[in-house]
Amino acid sequence: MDYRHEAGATQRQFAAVFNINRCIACQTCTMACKSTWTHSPGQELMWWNNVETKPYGSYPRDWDVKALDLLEQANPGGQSWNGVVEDARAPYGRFDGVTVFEATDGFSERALGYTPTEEEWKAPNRFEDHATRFPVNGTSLPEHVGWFFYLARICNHCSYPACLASCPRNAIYKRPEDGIVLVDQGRCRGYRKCVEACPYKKAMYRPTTRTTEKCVGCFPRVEGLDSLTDGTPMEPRCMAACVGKIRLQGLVDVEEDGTWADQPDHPLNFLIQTEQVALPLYPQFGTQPNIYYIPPRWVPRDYLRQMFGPGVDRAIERYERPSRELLAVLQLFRVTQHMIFRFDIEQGPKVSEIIVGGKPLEVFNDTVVGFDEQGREVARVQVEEPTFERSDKLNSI
Amino acid sequence: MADKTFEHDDPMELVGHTYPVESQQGHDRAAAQTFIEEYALMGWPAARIRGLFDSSEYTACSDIKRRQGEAFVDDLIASVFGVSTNG
Repeated sequence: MDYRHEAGATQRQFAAVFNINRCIACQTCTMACKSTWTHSPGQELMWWNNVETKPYGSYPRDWDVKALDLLEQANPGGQSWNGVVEDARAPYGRFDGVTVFEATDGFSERALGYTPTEEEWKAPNRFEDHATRFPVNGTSLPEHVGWFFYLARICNHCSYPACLASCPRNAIYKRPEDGIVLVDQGRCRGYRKCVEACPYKKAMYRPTTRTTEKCVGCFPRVEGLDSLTDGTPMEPRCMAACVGKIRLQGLVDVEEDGTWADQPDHPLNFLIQTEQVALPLYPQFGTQPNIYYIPPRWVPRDYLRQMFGPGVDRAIERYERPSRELLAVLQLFRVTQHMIFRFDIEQGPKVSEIIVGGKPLEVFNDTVVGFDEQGREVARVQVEEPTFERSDKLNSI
Repeated sequence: MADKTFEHDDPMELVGHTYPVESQQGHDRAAAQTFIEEYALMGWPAARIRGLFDSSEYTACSDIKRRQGEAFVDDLIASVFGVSTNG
């Protein structure tokens, strides 16, 4: 695949794992982002973080259906997956079709895309399972008797960003220190080629400034500028606010060839490379996104294979019957605002044996310890966290 | 608004879609199994998980019990814990 810029230009990469099995669509992440970055005039329709209900919802409307359809039109019948997962560095499988970069001539446009209409940016939850108002005479929605799940989305801070490749002003850049993709507001002239090119539709035009804006990865927190973490990197607002404890974010080291360094005791490397339970969203787009998802296990596999590639079967199998280490590392999600750079597991006693998939699974009450950038302990949590129930009559003032 | 006719270009119009399912019981089984196993891996005992299906506060769980019956839920919990929760 040809790309306009050199790979491996970053020393570290902003990355995250979202466990979809636990998302309840409370939209706390959405509002944490909104109240931090996009609450000003001209940003009303801008949701850098959104949570959409699949398969009904999407923001902007039908973004993924339209992107997949464009690729299908560019390569009729050829957008197929090889069902075998051959490369350990590509646990989602091998894609035999064309990416958004390969579906164009590379001159008239850098990446295949489309520009959503203003209507499609409005009402981000339309067609989802939310009532938008309460009519005087009442109304009812059909009951969801089938499957659905919540898909939380932010900018993927891709290794090969289509937005960056398409910008005629070179206003978009990927920071070498953390891989965060930013728009230089001074250079941007609002041509909206990035809005058209980003297959995930996470670059958004602001009419009041006539420039494009996008998720900034809460870079001041990532840089450790918040005094709460003593100068060490801190997770972005959407991650730190997650009520369902579905998110784990961090910075991973990158080799000169653009691949991730081998860091088996880094929680993200462990989940993505060692255990391979988390996969990128629509990897067939070819931008190498860096937000990874643990797929929802109850959803029909055909739908998931389209969304995450054929590696989804193995990812779910490993998540359903987690190894002892994986079960421990899964407890690190949302236990601290500090970014965790290394984990250690202290073994505990066997506490139960349950049956999963017809086979027994031993559960051990291990303790997982998380360390920050400077090696200081910032998290310590057990597989079976002790719970305390309050009495019925709560104390009140 | 409720007494007005539908206007297709109104973005605030209340719209709901259902997705066709081939086997309702199969989908309910997959969802219920997920709930039970997720909580079991967190160390919840069988009786406490059973409580999720009894309380209407937990819509997804209680809807499955309403549609499929108590025996359906009890059998699933028993298949994970190897013990019965219905007495």
